[in-house]
Amino acid sequence: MTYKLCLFSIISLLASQSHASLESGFVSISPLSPPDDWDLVFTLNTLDGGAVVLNDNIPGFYSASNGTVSFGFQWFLTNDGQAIDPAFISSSDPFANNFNGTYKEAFAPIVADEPFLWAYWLDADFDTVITPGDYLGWAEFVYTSGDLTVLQSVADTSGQGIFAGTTTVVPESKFYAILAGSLVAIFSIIRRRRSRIQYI
Amino acid sequence: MCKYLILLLVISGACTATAQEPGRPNDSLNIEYSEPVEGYELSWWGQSGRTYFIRYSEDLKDWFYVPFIEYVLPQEQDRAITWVAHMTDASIVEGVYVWLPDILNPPALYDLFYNDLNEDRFFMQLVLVDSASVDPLGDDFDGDGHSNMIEVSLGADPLNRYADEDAAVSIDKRLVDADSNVALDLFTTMDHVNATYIRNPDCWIADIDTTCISPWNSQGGASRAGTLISPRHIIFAAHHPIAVGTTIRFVDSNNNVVERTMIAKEDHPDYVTDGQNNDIAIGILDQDVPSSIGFAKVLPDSLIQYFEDNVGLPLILLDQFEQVTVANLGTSLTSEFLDNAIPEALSVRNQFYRAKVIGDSGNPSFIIVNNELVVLSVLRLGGVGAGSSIHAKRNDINTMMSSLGGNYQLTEISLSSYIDIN
Repeated sequence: MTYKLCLFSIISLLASQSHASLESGFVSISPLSPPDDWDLVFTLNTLDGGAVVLNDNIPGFYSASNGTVSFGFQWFLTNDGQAIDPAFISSSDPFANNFNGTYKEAFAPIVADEPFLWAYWLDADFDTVITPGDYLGWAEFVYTSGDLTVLQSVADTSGQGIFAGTTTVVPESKFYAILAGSLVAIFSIIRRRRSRIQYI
Repeated sequence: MCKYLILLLVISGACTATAQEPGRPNDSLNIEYSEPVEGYELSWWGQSGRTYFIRYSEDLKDWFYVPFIEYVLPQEQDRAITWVAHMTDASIVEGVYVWLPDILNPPALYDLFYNDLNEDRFFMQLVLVDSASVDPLGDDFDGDGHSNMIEVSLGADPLNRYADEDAAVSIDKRLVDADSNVALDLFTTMDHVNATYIRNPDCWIADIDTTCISPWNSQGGASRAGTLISPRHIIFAAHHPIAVGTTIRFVDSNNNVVERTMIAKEDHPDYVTDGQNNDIAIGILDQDVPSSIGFAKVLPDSLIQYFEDNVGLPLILLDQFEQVTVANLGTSLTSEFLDNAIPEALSVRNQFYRAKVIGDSGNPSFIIVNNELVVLSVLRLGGVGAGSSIHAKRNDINTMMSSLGGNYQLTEISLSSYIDIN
C-alpha cells in the first residue's frame, strides 16, 4: 500500500505540473545610462534576478550587448501562437544567450507603437537543460517615444512550455509520458524485489 | 621593450669622440652623429655614485622613461656613458633637452615615439640620482615597493610615487614572472565537500592577502560569491543573492577554514528601480571572522587627487573557480558602473584574461594598492565583466552596514604616501 501511495503521489505531481504552472509579471525594463540603453530584467521573488543589456546604438534596431551571469537564460524572437517549448528552444537562434555569451547586434527592427513578443527560457535550477521548474515564457513589449516598456509577461514552469501571447500550456509531451512510465516501471521492480525478499 | 633594444644600443663605459667631459652642465649630455656606428650617440659624463635615467617627451609635459638604467657605482671611477640611437637625421641642442627634428627613419622609431607623423620633434632628458647606490637596478628610489628596473621596464616613473602607476605595476610585474598554466588558480585543492583547501604557492598573487575571498557557501556552492569588506560584513551581487542563514566559508593563509553564518542582508535601496548601477547587496555574519581572515579595503574619498583617468588600468577579477584572472578597466575609476575591457592581444595581461560565464556573478574585482587588495566592484555582467562601483556607492554601503549592525564601516586604503596629482 505504501508503494501505491508513493506512485500515486508522483503521478499527481506530474499531472499538477501540466496545468497549474503559470507565473506572470516578473519581466521588467530599467533605463540605463546612457539613456538609450535598457536593462531587460527578470525580477523573481523565488528566483535570482537576471538581466540583458539592450540598446538601440544601431539606429532603427534593437541590439543586445551583455547579460548577467547568475542563472542561465536565452531570449528569442517569436510571434503570437508560437509554442515556446523545449523543441522551440533547441531549434531557435537566441538573440541573447548567457550560456555562451552570445549577444546579437541589430537582431530586430524597432517599430514604434506596435506591441511585439519575445520568448525566453530561464534555467532556474542551474542545470543548463530544460527541466520542470525552469521558466519557458513570453513577454510583450512596446517601443514608444524612445522608451521600451513591458506590457505583460507569462511563463510556464512545468517544463512543457507555453504558446506565445497566451496562457495556454503546451500539452504534455511524450517526454513526460515516458518519464511517468519509467517511474511506474522502476517502482514495480522495486516492489517485486522487496516482495521476494520478504518471502525468503 | 624589444623596440627599445633595437633603437638604443647601450655601450656603457665606451670612451668615444663625443663631447662628454667632466664639469659641464647636465653631466655634459650630448648627442651627435657617429659615422662608425651609423647612428646618433647620446653621451654624457657618468660620475661616480650616480644613477642615470633617460626619459623622452613629445610635448615637454608627458614624459616616458626609456627602459634602461645607467650608473657608475660609488667604488668606480667617473667615465663616459654612450648610447647609440639609430636615427637618420638630427640636429643638436646641447643641454637638458635634446631636440631631434626631421627624423625620417626608421619607421619603428615613428611607431615608438610618434603618434602623429606631422610631429617633427621629441625631447630627451637625462635624469640623475646622486644616491651612491650600490644596487641601482634593484633599489627602489621612490619607495613604492617596486625596483627601479621593474618600474622603467613597465613604463613607470622610478623617482615619483604615483598611485595609478603602483596599481598597474603591482599587477604587471607579477604577471611577467608568472605562467598562466599554473598561476591562475588561487587554490591547488578545493574540496568543498570536506572543506579542505590548499593555497597555490604559484598563484601570481600568492604573496598578497586574499583571505577576504570566499570560495564556497552553503547555498550556491562555488557560485554566489561573497567578499569580506569588514570583519563582519560581506558584499555580493543583489541579482545573484545569498540567502539569510547561508554558511559562508573563508580560508586563511595557512589553509585553515573559517565558517560564519549570514544572519541578515540588505540590497542596495535603489537596486529594484535601477538594477544596473546598484547591483550590490551587503550581508552581516553571525560573528566577526578571526584576525587571520582579512577584509578588502576600498578606494577613498580623495581618489581623484591620486588617480587620473585610468582607462586601461589592469585589475583582478575572480571567478567561481577561484581563478585570479585579469582584465583592463574600461571606464574611469570614478564611474558609477565599472565596465572592463579585454587586454590587448598577445599582451601578458591577455594570457590571464578569462571571459566570465554563468555562475560568476557576484565575484569581486580588485586593484592592488600598497600591496593590498582594494575591491572595486562585484560582477554583474558577463564576458569581459562589469559591475557597480563600490567606491561610487560607498556612502550607501556604509549606511547599509550601519543598518545591519556590527559597528563597522568600509575601510579606505590610504593614498597619502602617493603624489597628489592636483
